[in-house]
Amino acid sequence: MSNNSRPYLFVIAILLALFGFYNYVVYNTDGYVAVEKLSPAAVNGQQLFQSNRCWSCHQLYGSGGYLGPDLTNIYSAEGKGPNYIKAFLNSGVKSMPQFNFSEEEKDALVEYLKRVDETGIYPNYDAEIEATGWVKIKYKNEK
Amino acid sequence: MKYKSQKVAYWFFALSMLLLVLQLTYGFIMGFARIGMDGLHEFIPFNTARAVHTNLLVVWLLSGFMGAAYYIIPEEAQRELVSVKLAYVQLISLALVGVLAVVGFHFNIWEGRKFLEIPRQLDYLVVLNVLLFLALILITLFKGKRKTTTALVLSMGLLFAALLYLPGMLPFDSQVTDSFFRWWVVHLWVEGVWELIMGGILSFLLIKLTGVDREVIEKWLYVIVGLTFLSGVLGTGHHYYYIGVNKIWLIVGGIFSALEPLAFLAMALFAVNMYRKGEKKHPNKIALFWTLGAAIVSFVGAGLLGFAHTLPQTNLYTHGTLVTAMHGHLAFWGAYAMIVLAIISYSLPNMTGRKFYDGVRGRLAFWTANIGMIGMTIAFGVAGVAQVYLERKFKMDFMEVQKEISIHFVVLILCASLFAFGILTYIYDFYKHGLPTDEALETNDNEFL
Repeated sequence: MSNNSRPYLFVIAILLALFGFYNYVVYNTDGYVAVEKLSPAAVNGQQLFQSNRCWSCHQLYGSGGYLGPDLTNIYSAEGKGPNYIKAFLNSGVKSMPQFNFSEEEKDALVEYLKRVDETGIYPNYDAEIEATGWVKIKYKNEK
Repeated sequence: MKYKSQKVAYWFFALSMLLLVLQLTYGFIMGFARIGMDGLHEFIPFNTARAVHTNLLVVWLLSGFMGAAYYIIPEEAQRELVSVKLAYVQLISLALVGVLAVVGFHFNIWEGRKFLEIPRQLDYLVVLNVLLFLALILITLFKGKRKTTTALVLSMGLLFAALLYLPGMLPFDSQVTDSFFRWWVVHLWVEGVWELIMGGILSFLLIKLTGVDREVIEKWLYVIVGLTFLSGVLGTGHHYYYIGVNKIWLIVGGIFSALEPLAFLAMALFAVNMYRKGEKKHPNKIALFWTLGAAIVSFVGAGLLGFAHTLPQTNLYTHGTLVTAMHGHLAFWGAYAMIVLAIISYSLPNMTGRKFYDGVRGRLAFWTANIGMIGMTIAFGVAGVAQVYLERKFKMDFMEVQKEISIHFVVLILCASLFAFGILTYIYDFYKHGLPTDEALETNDNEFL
């Protein structure tokens, strides 16, 4: 390696180290809600969500496809919830296929969506834009 | 071309073009599905079409970047590639991974996370493929007669792109953590290390096309690298606003995301300044069009349209709407697709010896593709803004809103047709250049070639 390139590689290494450290500090700082592990049933649900490529149309935390609604809080939304989720999986609609999941699989998906619901809110209609322009976001289970 | 081994690049570019056509085809399938013309649903459901569309984007761009590296590194290092045979092995394995992934998507074989859909087994093949590619490039570079900043920035971009693939392979048992690290791959690629790759290719092209001294151009490159790291790395925070991590990311993401357009602004100023400064004018006008176009459109698409919805105050309403699709399409087009098309336009006449420098086909392809893409961006933008008002402000039901805005997808398909015409014209021009040949070798040492 030439002497010319060493200072740049050194700077890049420092930046990467700082980035790693920063992420560690931020992510491990005690926040508003504990980042809970998914239960085994929820992990199964996560796998089903991924292996059936639900992300193509639906979103979690506002990230995903644009064809179907965001599912972050479908578990706790008024008029929706576990039975509503299962009904959609059973029947499908014009743009959403009918899934032939077993009861156990449907329960796993519901459990997964329940855990997602506990960790984020989207769309966050309860957020406030303060007079200063700053955004205050409220979460469920906030300490 | 100055080295025989640079011809390898041609086949990577050819693979890119093939995959680009497939990507467009699946884009049309999705567009028609959005307006209710979903006749292929039984064979190619929407989720398959979308997975193919987004993954092919990544693969054709990567193939283009790899082709660019195989063309640029020998010339910058002033030596032949260390092994042409292994480069062809790498090409074939890349094509194989792409074909297996696309075919698998049609049989519901995928991992399923957005942008990281390919099954885990294929991930390992990708890793092997990229390791072989990096070995060939880096060994060539370090055995070379010189190590230029342009070559180092390009190589570092490719190396970090490979390293950043790894966090996406880690299993997490928390949805929050999973989302957190998935963005390390997706965001830090497109708003981080891919910018280094773009900067490296842009620098190479400007040296070749404007005749401005390498020292001047490479000084700009340092500024771009600095701005990219300063803003892009912590700019990852704009993906963390709602995923359940600490609220400090609203501040971090807001501030650093707002700085992200600076790197693209620097690139646009850099390209335009070098063009104006250049006393020599290279006859390859089409390559110059694509080069300057990439720098300017990336600033508009990635920089300005990204800034338009990255602050928490606006993102609160626009996140996850078609406003994101608006930004995504023009950003990828300007920053990465156009720079790949630029290096192809520059290198193709040099590899084949057929110097169609300023033909009608080339100009037609450039203008129709760009006007088509701008039309698509506007269609997505209007649909997105309407969606924001109806769904987020007036709280209309999501599906009701989709019905209201479906007319914009008709406009989208019309504009996409113009875009596709431009791309097909470009590919026809590519085909008409013929195959690379040793007879196209140049013996002149002049950098301005």
